[in-house]
Amino acid sequence: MTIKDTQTILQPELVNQLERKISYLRDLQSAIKNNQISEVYQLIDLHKFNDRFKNISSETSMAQLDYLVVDIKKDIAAFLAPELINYIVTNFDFLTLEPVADNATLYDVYLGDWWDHRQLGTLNVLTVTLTGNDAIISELLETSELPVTETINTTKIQEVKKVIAGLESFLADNTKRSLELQVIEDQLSEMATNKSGLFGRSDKVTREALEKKQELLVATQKRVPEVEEKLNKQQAYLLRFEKEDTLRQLELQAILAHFVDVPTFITELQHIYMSYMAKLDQK
Amino acid sequence: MDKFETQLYSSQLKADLDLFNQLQILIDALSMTENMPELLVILQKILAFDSHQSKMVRIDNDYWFPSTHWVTIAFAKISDQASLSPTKVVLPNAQKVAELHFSEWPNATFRFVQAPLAAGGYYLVETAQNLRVLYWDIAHKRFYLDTKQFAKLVQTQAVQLAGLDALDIFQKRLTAIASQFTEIAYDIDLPGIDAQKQVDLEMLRKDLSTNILDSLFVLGAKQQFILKRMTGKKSGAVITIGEVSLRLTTHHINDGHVQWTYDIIDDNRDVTIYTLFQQLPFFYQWYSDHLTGVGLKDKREVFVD
Repeated sequence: MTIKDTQTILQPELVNQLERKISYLRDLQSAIKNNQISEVYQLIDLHKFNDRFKNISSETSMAQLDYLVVDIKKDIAAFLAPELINYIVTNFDFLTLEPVADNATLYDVYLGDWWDHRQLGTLNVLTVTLTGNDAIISELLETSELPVTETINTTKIQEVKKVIAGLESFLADNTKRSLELQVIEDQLSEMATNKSGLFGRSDKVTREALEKKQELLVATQKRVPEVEEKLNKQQAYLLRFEKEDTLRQLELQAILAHFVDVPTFITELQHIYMSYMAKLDQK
Repeated sequence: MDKFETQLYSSQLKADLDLFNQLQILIDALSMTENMPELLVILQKILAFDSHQSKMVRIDNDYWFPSTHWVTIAFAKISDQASLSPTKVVLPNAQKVAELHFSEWPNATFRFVQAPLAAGGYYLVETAQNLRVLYWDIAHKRFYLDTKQFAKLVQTQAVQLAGLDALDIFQKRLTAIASQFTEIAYDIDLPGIDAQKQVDLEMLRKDLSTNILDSLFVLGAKQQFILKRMTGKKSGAVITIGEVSLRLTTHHINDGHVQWTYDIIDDNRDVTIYTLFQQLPFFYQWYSDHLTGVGLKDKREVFVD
């Protein structure tokens, strides 16, 4: 068989392969041109589209041509993002999305728009999937199961408040201690200078008792800076615990204003691809 | 034994009587004048009057008043002209200094006390809680609000009971007085009191720590007022209270630091930061807890405790 014969045999298949690729790119171009978002998703991941949305299995040969556009995926993501984000903020209006710097495919998803809102996960515009933060989700589940008057940090907050009350009381007594110390110092000085006075009998026992009390008071006073530092630390803990609880309460309130419970919300997030494709299909 | 000089005695007595006659003329002029700059000139002359210049005549009775009394009388006249809500002067029994009653706050009384400053000047003080409202330096033409104590004053029961309208009237009164003083080249500093000027109210400390804002977030959320991150061109945080928004805005300044300001956005321009202190206890609690950082910048150097 000559080289020419081999070429002749292989040629139709090669032409077919090229034709499929050209057709794929033409379809994608047309879908983008005509703003057919659903078709674009279908073309960039046919398997997922058929499996998840159409519930049919697709032939491998029909798919996986998206590698042809791998170098322009970020541009495709930029094209797809506005519609998807609009869908999410319409259906989950308590979520806030912020583009990830230098990555047009990803958006950080936050719960709420309040101060220091927590990141629930990251949205991939091309795959329409939300990678969730498991820790936040489990905290929300736990909070939702607690009685209304309780929070995850209730016990910790009570403990810290007790410690703070003790430390504040110690510091509040400092004025009293200073006065007491002043009185003792005056008495000792009186004893030292006025032998014929009240303590003229050189009452050694009294002096020693006063000196011991003075020592104790001085030692206690020396602890003030240390106690102040401890108080600052405890107040910082209290703020942290209260802030954590506040965030969880606000998140829970926002979720329950839209969904019957947290598991329903989580399920909705997990099925966002299907619900979005269904929405696009209605157009 | 010296010879008694009747003529000398007579001339000294006349000099003393002339001196006190001058004071009488000044006090009469103070009571008659309706012109604020003239009133201030008269007041300065009364304050400068030194009874010790008299050689023989001594006046010491229940009706001899100290300088703070005349400052009170003069301020009452200015205050009365500055507002439709009357200002009354009352002299309590056995007291040497008159008290002021602003009609909008029927349960509160005020008086002037001397400021312990080398430059002189007087503090207007609420008598029940001993809280300062302002500093008035007549000689050096300075009129400053004590933002720290005024914020505390609006929390007191007497002022709370009178309500928002009363606070509004009082703030307008001070603003109107300040406006008149500005015309005669006074240095004025009444941060946050004028409902028309509620933006760029500077906080004391630059570069606020996140903890301070966390604390406002936690306190506000307990009352269902949610602190949010500001969006748009400016950065900072915002709390919406009905149609009013309280913004804590950051401004990058040349030295690399960040200056924080309060901006109160109210389309009706009725609300001031003190209105919010009075209406939102959580806001005042936060303000008071972090006063050294988030306190309003004022002329603290004249407010000596």
